Amino acid sequence: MKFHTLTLLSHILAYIRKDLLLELRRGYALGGLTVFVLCIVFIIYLSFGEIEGRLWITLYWIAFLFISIHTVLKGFALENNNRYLYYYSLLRPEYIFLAKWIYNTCMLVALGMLMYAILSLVAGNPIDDQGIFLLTVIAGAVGISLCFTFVSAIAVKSDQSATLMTILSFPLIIPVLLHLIRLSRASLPDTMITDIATSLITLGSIDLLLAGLGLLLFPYLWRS
Amino acid sequence: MKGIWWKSLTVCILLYVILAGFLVPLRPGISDVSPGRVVAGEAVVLKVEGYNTFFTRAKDSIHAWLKLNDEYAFPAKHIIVSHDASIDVQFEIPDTFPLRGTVHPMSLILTDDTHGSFVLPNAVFVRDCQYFDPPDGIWENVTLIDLQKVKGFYFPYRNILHETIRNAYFHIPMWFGMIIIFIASAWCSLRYIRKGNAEEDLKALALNSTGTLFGVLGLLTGMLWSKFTWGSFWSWDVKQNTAAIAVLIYLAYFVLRNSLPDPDRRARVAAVYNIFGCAMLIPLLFVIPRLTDSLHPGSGGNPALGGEDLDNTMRTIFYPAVIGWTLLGVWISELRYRLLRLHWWIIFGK
Repeated sequence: MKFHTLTLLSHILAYIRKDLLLELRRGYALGGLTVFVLCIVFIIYLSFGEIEGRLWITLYWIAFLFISIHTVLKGFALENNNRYLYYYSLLRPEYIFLAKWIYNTCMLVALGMLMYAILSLVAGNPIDDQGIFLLTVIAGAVGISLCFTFVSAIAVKSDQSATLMTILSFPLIIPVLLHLIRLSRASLPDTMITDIATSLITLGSIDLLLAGLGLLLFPYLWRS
Repeated sequence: MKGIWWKSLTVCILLYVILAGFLVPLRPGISDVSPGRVVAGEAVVLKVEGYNTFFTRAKDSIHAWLKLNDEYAFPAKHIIVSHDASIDVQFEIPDTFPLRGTVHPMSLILTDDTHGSFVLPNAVFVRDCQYFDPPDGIWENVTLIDLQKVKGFYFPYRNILHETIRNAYFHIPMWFGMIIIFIASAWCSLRYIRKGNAEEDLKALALNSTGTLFGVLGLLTGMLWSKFTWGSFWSWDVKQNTAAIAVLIYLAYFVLRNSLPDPDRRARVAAVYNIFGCAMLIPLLFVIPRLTDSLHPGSGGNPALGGEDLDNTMRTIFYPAVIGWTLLGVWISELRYRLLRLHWWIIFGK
């Protein structure tokens, strides 16, 4: 049993290490993100003049959503199919899914924090309860990366993967996104939302559902 | 012809649903009372407009009360029947009310031997009331009011719904049918990924087309209903939004199929997405609407499906409607599946 757990961990860690190396070698995630956030803030600033709390949060999640679509999909699309055949011969598909998911979650948390810093720098920071907002970003990264890892594994099967990714992931991510926006509104100073626990529990159960489905269905997807 | 018995059953049920759904009249009801505001202590004549009523037939047996709460009411002095759909009811509003406050909403109760009895909640607002206890002689105990039972086969008369209550046999069964069909489709997809039999994938595709059709029809009937009861076609109600997103999930399924040229890979990937999408309907349709306020019955303080919205008369048509529409969906899917299978045979052989 102990041996089993060890192989699982070492396999997953090796895969994550490989992904991280690839990312660092290309290194345009950071630059792309900065341009993206600045672009959004600039356009909104030009049309509204100032960015108040609820708008700030909406902006944050719009930017987060598009950046995560981009980041997660890229993780799959950058390697060609032959190399996946090689990974498949080395690892069990569940391990690959887990590794991808953990890697994407860490990536999204990091990007989320970075975006938080950039937005606070250029558009001010209306958040009152930083703890709740941080928790929301982490919960969001877990849920979004679960859903998007799975959907991008589907989308890369097609030639127009970027378009397909947007079409497939938008309706699936709405339940998660609704709770995220609700949760992050609770971190604003003049909030009316008090039942954070209910939202967190619901979000957690949706995440569990996504994780279960992902682990069960990913091997079938992988095989094709 | 295979399956002739259930196909004829479907036709019979749907004929019954459509005929009974449109032909059974609404129970008589009060549609309007004017004036709606009166002053305590004055004598007023309330003009009561009826819907589906035959006041000339009931003439002498009509009795009317204005009801304050579950304890107190006072009777009408005089009732003049002008024609079938309208009567004038004369009340002498007392100065003193057995309840604190200066303004009281009162419900109008009518009862007679032709229609039975009907109630219009908050029919009249009385202002300048004074509090006095014990109450005047004019006040009667509500429990002593002798209400007549309604005879005959009627749909309930509801003040906001009116005749649109018949939409219950079309709008709600569409969602029941859609969910049943989507679950059946996910089941077929599950069998496909386990056994790899191409026919199961075609079944899932056929069922998903019908399910999406039902979803779109459910949205359209819902939008019509929303226009009449809530005022606009799209009210941004949480259930409207989540239902639209559910339909989007399945539209994405068709986009996914069309973007994959290789038939084997298409079938496998589409089957996996189908199961995933079907599971995501659970939070979308059953969790989120329960967490937010909604204009729909059953949430945000509105009464649920049942009570006076779905009485026993309506149940005798509503449940057959659910079965009938679902069977029709299965029938359409079966035809579509056979067509798809023919195409498959032409291209790849049996």
